[in-house]
Amino acid sequence: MGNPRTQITTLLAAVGKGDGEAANRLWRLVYDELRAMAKDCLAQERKRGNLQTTVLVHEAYLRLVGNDGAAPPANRRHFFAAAANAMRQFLVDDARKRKSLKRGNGRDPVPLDTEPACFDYDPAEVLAVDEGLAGLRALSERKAEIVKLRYFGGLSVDETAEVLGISPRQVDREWQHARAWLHRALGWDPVADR
Amino acid sequence: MAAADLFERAAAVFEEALDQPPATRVQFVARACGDDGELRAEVESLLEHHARAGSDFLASPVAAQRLQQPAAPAWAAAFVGRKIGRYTVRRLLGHGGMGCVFGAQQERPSRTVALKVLQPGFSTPSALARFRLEPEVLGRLQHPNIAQVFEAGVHDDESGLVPYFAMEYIPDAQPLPDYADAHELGTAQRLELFATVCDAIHHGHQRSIIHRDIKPANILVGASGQPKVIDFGVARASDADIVLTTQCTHVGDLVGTVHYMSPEQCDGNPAAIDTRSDVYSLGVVLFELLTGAAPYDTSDTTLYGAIRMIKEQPPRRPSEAIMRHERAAEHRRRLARELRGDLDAILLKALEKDPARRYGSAADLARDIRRHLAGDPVEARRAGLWTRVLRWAGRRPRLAATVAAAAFLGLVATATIAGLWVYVWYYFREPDRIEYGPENRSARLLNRRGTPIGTWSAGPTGSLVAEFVRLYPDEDDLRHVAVLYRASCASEHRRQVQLFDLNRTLREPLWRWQLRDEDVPSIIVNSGFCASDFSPVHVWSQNIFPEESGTPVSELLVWWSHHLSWRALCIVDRAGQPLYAIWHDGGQHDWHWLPELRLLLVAGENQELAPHMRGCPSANPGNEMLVVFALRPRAGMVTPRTVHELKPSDDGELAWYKWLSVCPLPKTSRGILVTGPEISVADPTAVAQVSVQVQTDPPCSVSWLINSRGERVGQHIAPHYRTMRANPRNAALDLPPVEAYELQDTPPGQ
Repeated sequence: MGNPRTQITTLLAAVGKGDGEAANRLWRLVYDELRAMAKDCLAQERKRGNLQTTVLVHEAYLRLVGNDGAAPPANRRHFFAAAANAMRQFLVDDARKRKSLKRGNGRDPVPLDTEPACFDYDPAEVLAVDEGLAGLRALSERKAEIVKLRYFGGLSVDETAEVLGISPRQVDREWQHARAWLHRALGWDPVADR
Repeated sequence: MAAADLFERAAAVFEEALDQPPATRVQFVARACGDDGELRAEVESLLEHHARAGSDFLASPVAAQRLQQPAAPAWAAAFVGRKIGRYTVRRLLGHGGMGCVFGAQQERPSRTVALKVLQPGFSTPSALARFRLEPEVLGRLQHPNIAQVFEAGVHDDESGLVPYFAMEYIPDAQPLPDYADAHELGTAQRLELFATVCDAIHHGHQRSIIHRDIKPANILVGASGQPKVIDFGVARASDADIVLTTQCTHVGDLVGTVHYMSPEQCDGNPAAIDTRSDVYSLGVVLFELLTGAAPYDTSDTTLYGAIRMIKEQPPRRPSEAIMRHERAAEHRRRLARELRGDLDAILLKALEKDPARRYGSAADLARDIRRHLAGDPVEARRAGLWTRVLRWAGRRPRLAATVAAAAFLGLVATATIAGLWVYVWYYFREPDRIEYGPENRSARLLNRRGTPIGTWSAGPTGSLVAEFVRLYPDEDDLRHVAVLYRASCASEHRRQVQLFDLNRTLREPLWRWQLRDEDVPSIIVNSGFCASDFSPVHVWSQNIFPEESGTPVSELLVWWSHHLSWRALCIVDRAGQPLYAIWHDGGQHDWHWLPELRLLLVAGENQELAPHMRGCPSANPGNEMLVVFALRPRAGMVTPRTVHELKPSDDGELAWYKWLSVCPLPKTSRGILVTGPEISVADPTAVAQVSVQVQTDPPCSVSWLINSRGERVGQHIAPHYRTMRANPRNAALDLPPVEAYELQDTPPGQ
C-alpha cells in the first residue's frame, strides 16, 4: 500500500479528476482512520474531558494528508466530502450495530465498553436521517449533499459552502429547506417519537 | 416528475419566505403562490415544520455541542417498561445531573405524566424524608404557567429506594429560548413571554416556595405557546444546592447549569438563598433569551473558574454579548440597539451580585419589563452616577485608585495654584505707599503693584498730608490713612482731619474733624487768633490711654499749627472724639512717648519769649530758645489750656519743662530732638536721649541721656561734634563746647 500520505495525495488528485473508484478508496481509507481514532476516543475522553469531534475530522485530515502548504485547496474540499461520507458510513454502521445489540424491548442497558462509542447520539435518529436522505436525494442531489456534509460530516455552513463551491448564504437557505422537508418526512417529534 | 417540480417551486417560495420578517410571511406566501393552492399548502406545511423543528433538529452527532451533554445514564434504560408508584414508564424524555425524566402513563385518572426519577441510591436519608413531606407544599402551586406537580414519592422495590416526582406532561415542549428562536420571535414577544414566567415564579414566592433551579430547561413552551415553569420546589426537595450536587454528580453536568446559579447559591449556604436568588437566575435566562449568550463566558473554564466568575466578575453588557443572529450582522446591530439602555439596565440590575441591589421580587422584574414594553421609564436605570462610579471602581480597583490619586493631585495642584494666585492677588492689592503730587497738592495711595487705589486732592493752591496710621497695633495690615488738609487749602476740606478705612471706601472718610473757636484758649483768642488760623500739620498714632476692653487701640495725635507761633496738640480716639488738648506757644521739633511712665516728651521752641515771632521786626530773629518738656496726658482734658498755665510737678499734667542752655544756637542748627535711649546705654535710669543737631559739613550732633525727670545722666555723646569744632574750617561757626549743652529749669540768659 505504501506510505498512506502519498497514497492519499494520489487518491485526492484522482478524485479531482472524477475517478469514482479513487473516491471509493479514499473514503475507505478515511473511514478506517476515523474508526481507529474513535476507538481511542473513550480513553482520551477520560483523560482530558470531552473530545471536540469537529476537531476529529480536521485531525484526521492532518494525519492523512498532512498540513502541506503545497496541497491544492481542492484537496481539502475533496477530503471533507470524503470524510463526511466516511462519517456517515461509520455512524450508520455503528447505529445498526447498537440497535442489534439491544435485546428484548431495549430494557437492558447498552454495555458501553463493547463499543467505540465516542459519540453520544440516538442510533434511531441516525438511521432515520439516513433513510430520509435517500428520499431527499431523489428530489435534490445538492440538498441531500448539504445535509450529509452538515449532519454526518459535522461541517459548518462555511465549510459546506467551501466543499460545494457555493455561497454560505445559499447553503443556509437550502439547509433550512432541507431541514423542514426532512422534519416532515421523518414525522419527527423530538418528545413523542424518541 | 410532478413531485420534483412541486419540490423545486415550494423550495423557491420557502427560501424567499424565510428572508421575510416572521410577521409578514403568511401574506408573502399567499402573494407568491397566487391561486396555486397545492403549492401554498406545501409551503405552509414546510414553514410549520421549520418552526417546530427547533434548533436541535439535525444537530450533527459529530458536532461539538452534542458531546458536551453526557449520555443518558445506564440505569435509566432499565426503568423503561417498569412501574414506579402508580405510573408505567414508557420512554426516556431527557436526563440531567440529578436524574432522568420519563414519559409515563397513569391509569386513574388516565393521563400522560412526566416522571422525574432521581438516581437510585444517591439521596440522603434527610432528602428522602423531605420527599414525603413536599407534596403538601407543592399542592399549593396552582398557576397556569407552572407545570403542576401531582405527586412526589419514594418508590421502594428490590433495587432500592427510588425518589420520584410525577408532573404535568407538556407535549411538544421546548425550552423557552429554543422555542423563541424556532418561532423567530422578536424582542418584544420574548419579553412578554418572559414576564409571564416572572409572574409564575412570583406566584411560587408568595407561597414561600423558592424554585432554586431556574434555567431554560425548566421553562418549557409546549404546543399551546404558553410557557410552563417545571420542577418548582423540586430542587429543595432534592437538595440541588451546590454543596450536595458537587458531591454526588458528575462535575461536567454542573458546568451546564452553574451559570444560572446566583453568587449566593455558589457559596453553598442554603440560609443565604431567598427569592432574590430566583430573580438572579431569571436574569440569566432573560439574558440568554435576548442575546443567545450567557452573561459570563464560561465555555473555556472549569467549574470552579465559572463559580469564581459568577461571584467576582461583572456580567457582560447584554447589548455587547449578542450572538443570536449568526446570519446577519445587521440583525445583530438592530438587536444591540434594542437592548442598549433600558434592557441592559434591567438585566444588570437582575444580575447584581448583592441580592439587596437586585429587584426585590420577580414581580418587580416583570413590572420593569412591562414598563419598558409600554415605553415608560424603568426603575433599573435610576442607579445614580455615584453608584455607577462606585461599581466601576469595584471592578477596576487599580485604575480607580490611579484615577482617584490623579484627581486628588490635580485638585491639590489646582487648589495650590488658585491659593497662590489669590494670595498674590491680595498681596499686590495691599495698599503700600503714598505718593505726593507737586507741592503736596495731592496724594495718591498706591498698592504693591504701583496701581493707584485712591487719590486725595487739596485743590490747585492747597496742600495736604496723608499718613498711614495704625489704630490697632496688633494688626499688621495698613488699614487706615489720615489725611490732613492744611489751612491754605482751597477745597472745602481745608483745616480738616479725615480718617479713611481702606477696607471700606476711599470716597467717604470715617470721620472729619476740625478745630472750633471754643477749642482755642482765651489767651490766644485775645492775641487776635481764631480756630480758622490753625491747620493740622502732623499726625501719628500711639496707644496713649489704657483700654478698658483690653484690646490695644491707638489714639491719633495731631499737631495743629499757626504759621507764626502757636501749636496745639490734640489727641482723638478712633471715632474722632477729642480726648485731650494742650496748647504751646512755639514750634515742636520732635516728640517721644514713654509708655511705662506714660510720659510724652516734646522738644521744640518756646516763642513766648521771642517777640520777633509776633511780628516785632526789632527783635533778634536768632533768639530762639529750645525747650524739652514732659506731658502726662489725661483722658477727657479737652478744655482750652496752654502749657505755660501748668505748674511742673512730678505727678502733675506737666512733669517738667526744661530749657536748652545754649542760645542762640549756631545759625545752621537743625533743632532739638528727643528719642529713645540707645540700646548700648547701660544706665538703668536713662529713659530718653536729647540731641541737638548742628549743620556743619558734614553735619554733626551733641546728645545726652536724660532720666525721667529730664536730668542728664552720664556723659555727653558728641565725638563728631568735638572733631568738627576742632576743624579750622568750622572755626568761623564759633561752636559752643560740648559741655555747654545742658537742659536747665530757667531760660538761658536769665
